[in-house]
Formats: sequence, C-alpha cells, structure tokens
Amino acid sequence: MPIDKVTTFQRIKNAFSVLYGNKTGFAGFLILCFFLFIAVFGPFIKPYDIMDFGGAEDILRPPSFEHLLGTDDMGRDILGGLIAGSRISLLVGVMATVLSMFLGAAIGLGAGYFGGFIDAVLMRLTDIFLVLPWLPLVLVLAAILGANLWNIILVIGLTSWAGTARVVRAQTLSVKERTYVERARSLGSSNLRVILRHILPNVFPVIFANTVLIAAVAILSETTLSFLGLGDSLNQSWGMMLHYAFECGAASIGAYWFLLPPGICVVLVVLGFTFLGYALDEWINPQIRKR
Amino acid sequence: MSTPLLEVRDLKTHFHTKEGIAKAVDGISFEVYEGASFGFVGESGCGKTTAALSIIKLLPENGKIEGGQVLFRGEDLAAKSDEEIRLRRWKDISIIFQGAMNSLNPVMKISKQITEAIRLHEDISIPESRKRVKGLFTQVGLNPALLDQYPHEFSGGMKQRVMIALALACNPLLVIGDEPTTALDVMVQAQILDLLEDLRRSLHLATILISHDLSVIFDACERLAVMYSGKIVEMGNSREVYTRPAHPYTRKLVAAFPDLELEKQRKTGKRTLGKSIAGDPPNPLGRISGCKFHPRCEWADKRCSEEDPVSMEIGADHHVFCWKWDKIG
Amino acid sequence: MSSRYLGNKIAQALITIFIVLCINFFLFRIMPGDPLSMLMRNPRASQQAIQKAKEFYGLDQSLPVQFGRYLQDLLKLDFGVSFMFKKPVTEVIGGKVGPTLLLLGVSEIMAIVLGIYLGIVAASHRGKIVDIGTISVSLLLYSLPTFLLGMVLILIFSVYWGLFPSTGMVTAAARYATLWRQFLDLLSHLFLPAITLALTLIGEYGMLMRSSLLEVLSEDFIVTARAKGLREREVIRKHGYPNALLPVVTAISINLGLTIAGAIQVETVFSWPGIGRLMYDALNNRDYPLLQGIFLLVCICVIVANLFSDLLYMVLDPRVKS
Repeated sequence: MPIDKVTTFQRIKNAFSVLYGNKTGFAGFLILCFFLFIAVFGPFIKPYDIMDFGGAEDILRPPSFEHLLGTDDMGRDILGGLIAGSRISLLVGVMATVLSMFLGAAIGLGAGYFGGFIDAVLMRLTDIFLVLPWLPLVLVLAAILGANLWNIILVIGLTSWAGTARVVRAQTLSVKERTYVERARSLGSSNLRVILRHILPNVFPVIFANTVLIAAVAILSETTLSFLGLGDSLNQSWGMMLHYAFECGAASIGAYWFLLPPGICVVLVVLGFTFLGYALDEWINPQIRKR
Repeated sequence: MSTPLLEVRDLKTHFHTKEGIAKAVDGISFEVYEGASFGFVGESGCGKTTAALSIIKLLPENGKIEGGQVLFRGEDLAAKSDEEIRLRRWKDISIIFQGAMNSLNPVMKISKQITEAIRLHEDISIPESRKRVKGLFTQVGLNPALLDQYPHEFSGGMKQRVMIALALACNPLLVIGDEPTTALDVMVQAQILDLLEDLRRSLHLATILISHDLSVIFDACERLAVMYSGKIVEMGNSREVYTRPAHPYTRKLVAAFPDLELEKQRKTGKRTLGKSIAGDPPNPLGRISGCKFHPRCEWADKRCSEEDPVSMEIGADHHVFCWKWDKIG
Repeated sequence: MSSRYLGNKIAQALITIFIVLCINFFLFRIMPGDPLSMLMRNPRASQQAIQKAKEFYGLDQSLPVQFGRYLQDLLKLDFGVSFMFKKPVTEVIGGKVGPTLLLLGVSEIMAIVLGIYLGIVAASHRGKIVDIGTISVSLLLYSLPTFLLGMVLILIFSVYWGLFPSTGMVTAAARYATLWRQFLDLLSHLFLPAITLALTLIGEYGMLMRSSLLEVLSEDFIVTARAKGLREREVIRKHGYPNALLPVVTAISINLGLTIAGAIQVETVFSWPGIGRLMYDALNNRDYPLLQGIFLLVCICVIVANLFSDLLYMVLDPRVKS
C-alpha cells in the first residue's frame, strides 16, 4: 500500500489541490485536532469503562440511551472502545510514521549525498522494497515477530520508507549542487556536518509533507493488520474492534453499530492526514500544482 | 503582390484567466499577399503566436476572439462557426509547428500522421495518399524509405522537414510557421529556411513566419510586423524596416544585432548573441495606458503615456506606431 | 526490440527474486522462534511432520549448506508440509489458485473498463461536478480499508436486501438441476467479492487515466491534430487515448502487489476459497511452511508482473525500442 499508493496520492493530490485549494487542508487539520483531543483526554471523558463487560443481556445491543453506540459481542460499550482505540490507532500511526520517515530520510540522504556505490546499493534496496508485495511482506514479518504494539510499529515502519527515500534522494541531489554546499565541502566540513547543517534543512520540507501522507498509510496499515488478526489484543485499536466485529459476524447479523463507528473513525483520520498532506505538499511545492 | 490573400482587421484575442483578462492580441491589422512571405517578430509573450493561431481559431479553451475580422480571400473566418473553420483548417491554411518539440504523435507512424490529414480533407484511397506522402518526402528532402518510421527515430532537423511535409499535404494557400527553426542548430536552421523559401516560390505559397529571432524574420520574409505586448508597433517591407527602423523598440532590437551577419553565421555555425533590452517585459495582465512600450522607452513623454499611438506611414510600405519616431536622433 | 534493455530487465527481476529467496530463508530461520521449535510447540503437528521439517530445514547443518539445500528443494517445488492440512504445501496452494484467479480476473476486467471510462469522463469534464464527484469518490475509496468496504457491502446487499450470498464460492451442499443453475450460483457468490475488489481498483485506474489523459491533451501534438482539422472527438480518440493508455496499461500489471493486498482482505471477508483466505488461515494457525510458500509464490508473481509490464511498455511504446 505505501508503495503503489503514494503515486496515486500524487495524482489525486494534483487533482484535488487545484479544485479545492486549502479549504480541505484546513478541514483535515480540524479532523486531526478532534481525534487528537479525544486520544489525549479520552480517559477523563470516557463515559464507560471498556473493561466493563456487562451481563448477558448487554451483548450486541443496538444504540440506545444507555449505550449511545450500542455494545459489542462481549457487552462492552462501543463508544468507550472508540475512545480507547483512538489512542492506540494514533499512537501506532504516528510512531510507525516517525520510524518510516527516519529510515527514508537517512537512506535518501545517504544515497543522494554520497552517490556512487553507496547510492547504487541503497537505491537497489529501495527498488526491491517498492516491488515486493507490501501486505504479504508485512503479514509474514508480523507473524514471525509476534503480535504486539511495538512489533506492529516496527513492521509498518520498516516496510513503508521506500517512497520517502526516493523523494529525499532526488531533493538531496539538487541541493548538493548548490554553491554553498560545494563550498562547505571544500572547506573540509565533515560529511555528517554538511548533511545536517546544509542539506537536511533544505530537504526537510519535502520529508515533512511526505510524512503526513505516510501517516495516513500507516493508520490504514495498522487497521488492516489488526483486522487480519495480527493486532495487539491487549491494546485494542479501531482495527482490533473491526477484527472482533468480523469474527463475531457483525456484518452478517446486521450489527451495523459494531462495524460502522470504528470504520468511520479510520476513514476520517485517514482523510484528515491525506487532506493535510495535500495542503502541505502544495504549500511546499507550489510548482507541482499543474493539473 | 496586388490582392491580399489574408486581411486581418483590428483583431482582438483575449485569454480569460483566473487572475484576469490577458489581452494577448489587442487590435492588430495586417495583410498577407498571395505567394508572399510575412513575418512576426517580438519577445515571447508579445502575442505573435496568438495572432497567427487566431486566424484559424486554434486557441486554447480560455482564448477567445473578441473582435475584428479575418478576411481570407474576402471571407471573414472570425465570423464562421467552429465546424466551418475545422473544415478549412489544413485545406486552406496549415501550420508548421516546432518539430523539435513534441508536435508529432510519438506512437503513430509518420506516414499515418500525414495520410490522416490528407484523407480527412480529400476523398482518396490509402495507397493514393501514401503515394502523395512519398512525393512530399522527396520534396522536403527526406528519404521516402523512412515513411513508416516513428518520430523519435528522426533528428530535430528531419522532424522539422516532416512538419513541413505535413503542412504541405493538402496543398494549402497559406502556411503559418510557428517558430519553425527554434531549437535547431544554426546550420540546420539555415537549411530549413532555404527549403521553406524554395517551396514558397515553387508552389506559390503565402507564408507567415513567427520568430523571436529578428535575424530569421529579416532573412526569410519580404514583409514583417514587430509586435510588442499585443500590439503591432512597426510594420512594412523587411529591408526598409531593417535599414530605417523607426520605433524605439525596433531600433533596440536591430541594435541588439549590430550586423545581420547571417551569411557569416552560416559559415561559422556560430550565433552572435544580441544585447538584451533594458527593462522588464510587460505583464500580460497589466493595464498600460497609451503606448505599451513607454515604461521602457527613454524618449517617452506625457503624451506617450496617455494616448494610444496611431499608425503613421513613414515610407513606401513602412508604418510605425509611435508619437516620437521623427524626434529620435 | 533492444535485447540489451530486455536482458537488463530480466537480470533485475532475477536479482530481486534471489533476494526474496534470501529474505524467505533468513526470516524463517534467524528470527525469534525458529520453525522447528514452533512446530514442536504446535500440538497439531504430527511426528512425521516434525521429522520431515527437520530434514527439510536441515537445522544441524551450517547456514550455507542449509541455504543450498533450501534452494535445491525449491527447484523441486518442495515447500515442505503444511501443519494445518498435513499435506505438501504445493498441493494445498495448487487447489486454491483457481478461485483466486477467477476473482482477480473478473475484478480486474471490471475495474479496467469502468476505471478507464470514469477517468475519461472526469478528464473531459475537468473541474465540473462529474469530475469533482469522481475525485471525491476515488479519495473515499482510497481511505476506506478494503475489508471494511466488503463488510459494508455485505451489510447492505446480503443482510438488508438479501440479494447476494456473503460467504463462499458455492452454496453448501447444493445440487444443481442444470449446469446453467450451477453457473448462476457461482456468479451470485462472485458478485460481492468481485465488486469490492473492483471498487478499490476503479478509483486507482480512474485517477490514473484522468491525469494521464489531461497530460496528453496538453501536449503539442494534440494541437497539431486539431490544426489538421480533426473533430475534437477524433483528436481525443486517435491521438489522446493511444498515448494516455500507455501508463495505465502498464500500471495494471505493476499494481498486482496492491491487488493482492486487496484480494487477501476480500477473500477473508467473504470466505472465498482462494490464496488470500488461505494466507489468513495460515496466519491465524501459525502454519509457517504454508505461509512461506504463499509468500514466495506471491512475490514471484509480482516480480514477474513487473517484468511483464516493462515488456508490455516496450511493445506498446515505439520510443522504448531504440
């Protein structure tokens, strides 16, 4: 998904940015603020304890005044689950994105700055990661490492950096040619110093816009992994809720209240990151807004 | 040289952009005579290409002819519907685009691209049309064996010859060359210009050449118009305009090429680079009152910034649009 | 065709396949929990399976020897024995290829036809309501996890309207009066999974076709075609489409990796008896030999599809040949 979808990102983005301008970026920002608020302050406002399983009569109840969004197959309140899940989903999304960004930036900077053999090897590696079918790879990795929160973060981060590396490398190559970089190098600054002082500040905006888009992919990834049974059952995310909904056949018995709320939350957060990412990207690379 | 083949009267073409209306062509008039060559010269963005493309209404979606007449053999093309114009395109008036650019479809055989045009306007068989394409290839100095190649297999100069062959496919009366030699090296540029000149004489074609390169237009056209910011500032016989440039803009253009060393350039294959003209090119969305050139003109006075200059005849076939032309040293 | 280009591409694909083999080898050996101990812990594993696994992995040997034997076994198409099915992995996978191909084929065809059509409609009404609608729907489909779309469709079409069955490929224990009846039953089972998978691809192909066509229509040769006097319709049909379709056609095979990700989810949601559902089952039963086999098969398919798209481009675009 991170592989092929980033190019689709570009396409939809080009189309969208021209049509909607930055109003959508603002909308995305507001959506993310809302969920961030819920995630941070959720424990204080939560109306129900998610560990409150209730009695047999509380199992799979449709929405009511008592349970605004109904209950799940173990009698737990869905709204409470959503609030608790927002923490996990956002945490995994953000942490995986940070890891992915760090890897992508390091590999892209290294390849672009040093060139030659290092570039060839790093880009070959990047190409392979771009070619490999993403979901099977992630599933295999997660299955071997074992399903817990940190492994999920690790697996998503390890498999989603290739697009960033490409972009960063291209930007590094163009920055490297600038005179002050040449001068810094000829004056004998160490490579690390030149990269951190002169190249990174110029490449950073590109990394940043890309990061926000990767965050959308990371959230989707976590949801998909959890749904397929590789989630952390102790830290229940929206994806895990959907997994349980699937396992108890919520769709087939018409328990829409078990299915739709976590689904809508995922879609909203992904849209939020995407909108914000488009807006940032347009703001950072105004020359791209062609069509 | 008696009957004008094309007579353009007070043509106005505007582009409607988000930022406002750009008056790309702002009331120009000129004639092109049968079998004669006419040239437009000016900086990029001065409206010369828009002026030529307006003749066959080949404008981008946001471009519109807002006024004026385009009389082709007495018929007003500007007043015709798009469908009527479509049938006239290529049959009467064809265009040579910049061949070095992407003007040919990269995934279609060259033969197909030319026969397509022929069979669109004439009811002839495929073998018949292919035979004509062979003839056209010979005419423009290309090996007919290369007929079924794809554009990328040709060099820039060869592609430009293909563009010429394509333009001649339906035996038009008028051929418009839009920067036909730009992006070619000087040697090839000279060959292409010679070829165009030969074809014009032998086929009794009228041509309109458009170029930002003054030397090309002086060299290749009998008559010319200098354009600046959507207006014609000087027009007339090429030799006359070259020897006695009257408008300050034309003077600077000519001075930028101290000697039209075309012959020398051809021999050495080098292009002497002209001096640039002081000041910024005008903003296409700008509203400059009076003479459009006055902000960049050292001789401009109050009148120049208030009143539009009118056409003044200053010699046999030599017009200038300038209030001060006779007061400049 | 330039043989050098071809050779280069094939070499690249072979290198990638080799690296996948390495990943596959090391992942299942070096990572915590080697297959043998996992197998021993698995109560469902039989004594023969453990013996077979010991032989297969040759865990007493040195790594290079193990790797050599691993490659040897792969060449013999020996992927070991599935824990769940107690049958050779090759056999288990073989039985599931058909349904997956059927699902992928039908959804791809629907997605290609509709996606390209949608892209054309959007591009030719650029900025209008149709265009904005297409973009918005594409964006929504993009943000929607595939499995969730599947479950929502089940909710609507199976549960509320009762139009289509939601699980499996055939009605269990059904007997059909005619072959035609059997075909209709298959079709009704195929409908929802195929639509789900197709929808996720339609947005993709639609947006690709839209941007590709818009880009082509801004090219100089389109102006040439207009100048020749072609009708706008013909300009787009004869000069726009052939150029705009190039990237779309190749993207379809490059996209296989993404399509497989969708298929795993769709097959899981709809219990479609294909490779994707098999992978889900293998995951949840920790059937490592089976998982390894599927991973290898899918990777090789994707790499070959990439190679194929390069070759296809070479055939379709005359510029690549020289």
